[in-house]
Amino acid sequence: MRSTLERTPALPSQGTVEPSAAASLVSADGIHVARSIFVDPAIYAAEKHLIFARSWLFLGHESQLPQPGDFLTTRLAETPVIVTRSRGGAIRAHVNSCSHRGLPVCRADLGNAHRFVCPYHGWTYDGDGALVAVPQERKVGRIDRSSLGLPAVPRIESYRGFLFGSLDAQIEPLADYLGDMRFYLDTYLDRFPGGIELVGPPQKWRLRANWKLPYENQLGDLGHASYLHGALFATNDAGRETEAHGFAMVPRAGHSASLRLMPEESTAEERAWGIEGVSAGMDPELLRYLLAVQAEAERRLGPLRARIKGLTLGIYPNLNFVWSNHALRVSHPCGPDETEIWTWLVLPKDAPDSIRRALRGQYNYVLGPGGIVEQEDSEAWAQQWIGSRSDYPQDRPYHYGLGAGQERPHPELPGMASGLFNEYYARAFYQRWRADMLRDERA
Amino acid sequence: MNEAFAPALDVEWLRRVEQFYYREARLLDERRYLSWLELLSPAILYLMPGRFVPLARASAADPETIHAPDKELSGYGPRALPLREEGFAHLAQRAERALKPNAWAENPPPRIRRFVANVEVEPLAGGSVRAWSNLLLFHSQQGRADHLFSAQRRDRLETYGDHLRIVEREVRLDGDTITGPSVALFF
Ligand code: FES
Ligand SMILES: [Fe+2]
Repeated sequence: MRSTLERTPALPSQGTVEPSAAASLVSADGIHVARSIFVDPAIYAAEKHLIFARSWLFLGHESQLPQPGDFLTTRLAETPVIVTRSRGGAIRAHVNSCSHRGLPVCRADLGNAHRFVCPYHGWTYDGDGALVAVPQERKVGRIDRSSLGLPAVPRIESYRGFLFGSLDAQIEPLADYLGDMRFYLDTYLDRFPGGIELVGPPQKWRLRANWKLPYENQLGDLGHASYLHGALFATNDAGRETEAHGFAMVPRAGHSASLRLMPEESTAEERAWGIEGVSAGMDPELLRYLLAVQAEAERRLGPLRARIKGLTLGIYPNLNFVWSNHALRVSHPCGPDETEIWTWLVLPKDAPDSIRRALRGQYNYVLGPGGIVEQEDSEAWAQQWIGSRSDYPQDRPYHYGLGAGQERPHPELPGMASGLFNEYYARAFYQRWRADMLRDERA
Repeated sequence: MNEAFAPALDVEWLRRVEQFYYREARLLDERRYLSWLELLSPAILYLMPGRFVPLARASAADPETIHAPDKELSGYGPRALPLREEGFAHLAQRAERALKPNAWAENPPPRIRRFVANVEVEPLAGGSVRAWSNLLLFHSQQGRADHLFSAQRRDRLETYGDHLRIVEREVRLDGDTITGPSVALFF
């Protein structure tokens, strides 16, 4: 079989990391992680074709494209992409780059259009990516337009409305790729009979940090909250609850779900999504709504899943969902030491208007570019760059060994359980990273 | 203020508002966040819309509206996602947090300088005033790249005793993608 890169002209092959070098960057047990993987341009170039071009990457949610002609622009790693709902109603994704000289043919973030006209010489494409007009043909005669459409993203699949695309035509089906991660996604989604929607346009901000660090943090770094966020969290109820009941589940290396499994004797209020130990000062209407959602969840989810109170979910390589604060986040890589984070608010589709604003405050006051908590994370992620790029300590890899060997299969939940300060969720991620970086480009 | 020509200038109000803004900026630049809180009405609404790139729609009836900045704003309705939308309690929590030694985004603190310009005022009934201003905020921290935030502020100020205080502030950031580390700052 040909390599992904040869099939995918959008991503030129430029990674030159020797397999032996990749093996030495992360130890087989995932405990030792080379500093250079957060800053080295050659490693980043290899990541683009060995990881980003061969994984399922988040494209959007069906709720963002309700009507034929609706489109949004996004990116698969650094490749610009237009996602459209075509006239026929199918969702398509194409590289947003003109076949003539490469300009993006769509310059808006979102909208509704059936034609995309390239500004440079007017070549025009439709929502299926076909090149439908070349103004110069009038003067110089016909060209073979059929071979000059926008390059299609070869695979698009949806899991419960979440759209993923892959540049690897041979990639395993999305459902297999997610594996038992579906259990944790379902445990969130099944509580909302009317479904969820993404509220945007997304907030976008750029950090001087490698993409892996924000992703890794939200896989399950529960232990950092009382330190990095100590000015806010040291003593509150949510923090104590996480200490008592929090852990991370790794259903497949690279993915993770951090959560609290509330005790059987806990109250609905303690278990409910959206309350987080702050019911005392809560608007009574919001509290009533959240308790009603929980009551419905207890009916729909069964006794075990109703006790799961999620914190963060991670879908390899760069999608996170912050269950407790209603945020879906992508860490788009923009170079070895630059990441653009895009964040949407996630709300139940049928949440009443008065509730939506209150739920929004649980996200945008806390997390995102204006978040009182997130500002500490952004700072920490950007500071890591200093330690990663300095030459001297390169023989002292980062240590991911806390709790090594203490992870166990969970008696009730799918995957390996790693306790509050056990860094297994991260070791598993770097083991997956290592395996991907070692895979044969020609395989 | 949509008209091309401003109404007759009320110099008295303009001076008052300018001096208020300069003092406010100095308090914040000097990290006197608790003192700054005194400049806020307890009922303050502090807003920052999200901003995006829409598809341009021309209007034959009103050609100037094709690129009206309002079309780029998230708004604040139940189906919107603004960057910030806060009241006094939120701002007070931010102020108190920023002065704690373990608030790691503020220790060591960023050096911030605020430049307020292009002040326009429109006196309203009852001793309050609508004010437009431009803000340039320079942010420097820890030897990293320095950042500039450029914004328009749309305020409503009211007289309270002998002083002015802020009842409403909307901060419209100009950046498309935010390139500073955070907009959890006092603009
Ligand atoms: S670059 Fe698109 S038409 Fe020439
Ligand atoms: Fe954090």
